[in-house]
Amino acid sequence: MTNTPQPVITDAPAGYEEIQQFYAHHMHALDAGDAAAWAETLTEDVVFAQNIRPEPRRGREVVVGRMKLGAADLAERGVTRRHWLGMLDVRQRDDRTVDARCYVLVVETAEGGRAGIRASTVCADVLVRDGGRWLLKSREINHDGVS
Amino acid sequence: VTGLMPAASRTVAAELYASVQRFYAAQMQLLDSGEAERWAATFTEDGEFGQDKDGQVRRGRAVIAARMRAALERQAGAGVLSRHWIGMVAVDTRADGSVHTEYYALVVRTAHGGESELSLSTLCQDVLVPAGESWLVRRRWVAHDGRA
Repeated sequence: MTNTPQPVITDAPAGYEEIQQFYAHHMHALDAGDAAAWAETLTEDVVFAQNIRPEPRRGREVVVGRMKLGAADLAERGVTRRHWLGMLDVRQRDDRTVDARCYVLVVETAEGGRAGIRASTVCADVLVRDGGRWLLKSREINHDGVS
Repeated sequence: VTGLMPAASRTVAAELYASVQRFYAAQMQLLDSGEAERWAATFTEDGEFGQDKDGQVRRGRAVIAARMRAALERQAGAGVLSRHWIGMVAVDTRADGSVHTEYYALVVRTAHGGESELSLSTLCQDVLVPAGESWLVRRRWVAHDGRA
């Protein structure tokens, strides 16, 4: 036994930068309230679970419908929300599927107000390759500070 | 600069994406360490820097450097340190060799002896042009969140 740190093997053919770019597009569309662009980053059978909700939401139509309500509520209240994703850990599951775990900070700014951190979460996603792009197949969001 | 460009939605090569991330890391560290002139030198000679908070566009390295020098001196005089955090970078390539980027920037401020806090969240858009192994900013537009 030695104390030499072992390198983490990330042989994901996915490419780390590719997944980072997927998330940039996905979150930009979400935060811009662009439901059509955001929907294009989801699979038809996407599943969304959060530890602040009793039941997961299933299917693109349902998930996008809720996203539109959320975007309308933010707009109504004059709040800009930005999802910041980092500490992204990507593991290959098979040649068209990856598990992606990351931290997400939710930053909100009210009109005339100062930016603040609204939530700190850990996000466990499954992404699948569809032609030349990646799509979100499932997401489990665990909000910090919620048992 | 006349406002927001369409969001980039394509995926670029890993090396290109990494080089843009490295450029931003170096550029923000120059800014936050008070190097206004060296920071301005990461713009093209005729570079443009605009923000929606005043709607004004500063044109040319010399103007950009002078404005930033003044802002940094005011901040230093107030005993405040800023750190610019850039993330969620989307990159799109153009036929002329430039790249268009869209990203978020957070400013974390710490007053001397005080607690660190977020002071600003923004949406930024750049046009970058290749310069040797790295990039220069030809145009930057910064939109501040929370503007009525």
